[in-house]
Amino acid sequence: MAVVLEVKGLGKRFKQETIVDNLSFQVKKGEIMAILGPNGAGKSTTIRSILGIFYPDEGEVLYQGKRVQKVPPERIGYLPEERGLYKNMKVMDVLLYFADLRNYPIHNAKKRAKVLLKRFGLAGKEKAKMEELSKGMGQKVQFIASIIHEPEILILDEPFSGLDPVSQELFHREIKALATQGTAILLSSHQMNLVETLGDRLLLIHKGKEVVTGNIHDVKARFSNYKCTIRGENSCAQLKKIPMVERVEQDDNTSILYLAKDINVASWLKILPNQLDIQALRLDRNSLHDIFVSIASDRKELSYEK
Amino acid sequence: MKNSLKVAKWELKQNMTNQSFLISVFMTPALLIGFSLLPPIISGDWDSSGVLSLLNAGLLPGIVSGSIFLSVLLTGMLIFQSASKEKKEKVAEMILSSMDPHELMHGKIIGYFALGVTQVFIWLFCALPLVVWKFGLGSLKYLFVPKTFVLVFIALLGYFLFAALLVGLGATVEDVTTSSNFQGMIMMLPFSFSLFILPVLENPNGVVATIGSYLPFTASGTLIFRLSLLEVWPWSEIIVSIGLLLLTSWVCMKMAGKIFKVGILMYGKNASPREIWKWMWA
Repeated sequence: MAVVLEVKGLGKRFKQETIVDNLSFQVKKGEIMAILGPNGAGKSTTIRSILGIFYPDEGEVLYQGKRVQKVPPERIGYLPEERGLYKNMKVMDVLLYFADLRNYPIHNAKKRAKVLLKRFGLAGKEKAKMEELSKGMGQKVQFIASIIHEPEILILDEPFSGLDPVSQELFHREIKALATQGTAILLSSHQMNLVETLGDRLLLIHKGKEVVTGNIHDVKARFSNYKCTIRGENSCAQLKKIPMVERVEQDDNTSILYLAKDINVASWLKILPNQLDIQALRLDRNSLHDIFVSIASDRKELSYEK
Repeated sequence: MKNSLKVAKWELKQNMTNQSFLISVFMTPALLIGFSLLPPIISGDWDSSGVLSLLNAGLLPGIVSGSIFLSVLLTGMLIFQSASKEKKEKVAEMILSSMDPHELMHGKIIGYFALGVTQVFIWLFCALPLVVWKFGLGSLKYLFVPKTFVLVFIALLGYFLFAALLVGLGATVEDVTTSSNFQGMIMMLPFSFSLFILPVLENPNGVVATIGSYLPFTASGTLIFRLSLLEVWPWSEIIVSIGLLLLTSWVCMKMAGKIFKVGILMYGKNASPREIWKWMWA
């Protein structure tokens, strides 16, 4: 697939603080690329650098293989994290204004706006003022405003924040449909579960640095070691002696044992020592969510560092 | 430039479809006339011929440029609101992904300029037939004189100065109700010429009046007021103060651009004077 957008060695500092550090990634045509990370990881800064709202201190942004200061506005759609639109203006006027800013012909924009409004369940709201809409409807209008000019690249900053489950489902479906039609999509999120089912590739960042990147299925396979949660009075040292245990986390009388790769679950269960106090035991795989949480809470001994 | 015009068109549309703007267009002159007629009515020496005799056609250039200046002050306040609203409603980021902040700022300034001009045209459209009816067609020759153009030019310079000042300031304020004294003071600057009204009335060529027409922030208001009262104009003074006004407008425009660029993307709080100071020299 053709690479539409490429970021090479991006770096951005505010005062002495490094916000983004040597970040590189690509977004291909028809692909959904997810940037994940806790709040303050540098997701929005990365996106703003691509859009040319900020100029990065280091690195470059390439559009269709050519170095650019900002991606041509006609080609890019953007849904910012901070939501809001002109409150006292009509829905159609707002949509046409954003289409005009992207140099999209007005009569096409009118047609497309009608189609899109209908698809998002807002048919007949063309003449309604923005302030008359509910918050969820407002977000839908803003989403439409970001895709009305048929962009080649769509950048979505936390597209699901503040949406109810039904709208979340709708956004999910529409984003997927756009990718199928060939739009390159870059989305940032801190909601792992949504990204897990939506994205093709991911880039996990923390404190501006790349932590994990790759195909979502590969990443999941790579990190989905087993973990065993045991409730009962056990000492940490005792648990650490059990073979194949890489790391132990204890909280009150609950211990989580992170197990080595490629274990055979059945045989591992058989070697558990008899004197172990087990009130409850649960065995499951690490999810992306766990990786994410462990990064976000800044724990030192992380399995992915090995 | 193309982007600026798009923004300008949009700002104009936003206001022209807004009822409160249309109401203010008609209310402002009604209120002004009302207030100027109120004192004689209350004091009892109401005599229509007496009040109207104060109005003579020679004052026309002053009245026209004065109304333009009034419109400048009103649209200046609107441009402040527009910048602060765009920041509050968080659309700035979406717009800035398709243009740079200077284009957005210039677009706003041009848009409100057009709005002010529209307002003045509406006023003139309503007032001129009255003037012609009262004083006859001949009075129009007092209007189309070089003096009018100089006064209008001064009023327009005032617009660019205050528009730059207020658009920059608007980008630093998210919530007008919690804005500091500092922001309040800057917002009062366009009205500072009123300090000179009395001294100018007493002696249009006095020291205070002269100082008022040199200080850039009071210059346009004071000059318009003062020159409408004077028969013989102090041309050298006028040229110097226009020069100062031009220079200050240019500096303000540059500074406003820097403030606007950073301020419009800052969310969650109003900028402090200290931060603004830092942005200006960044």
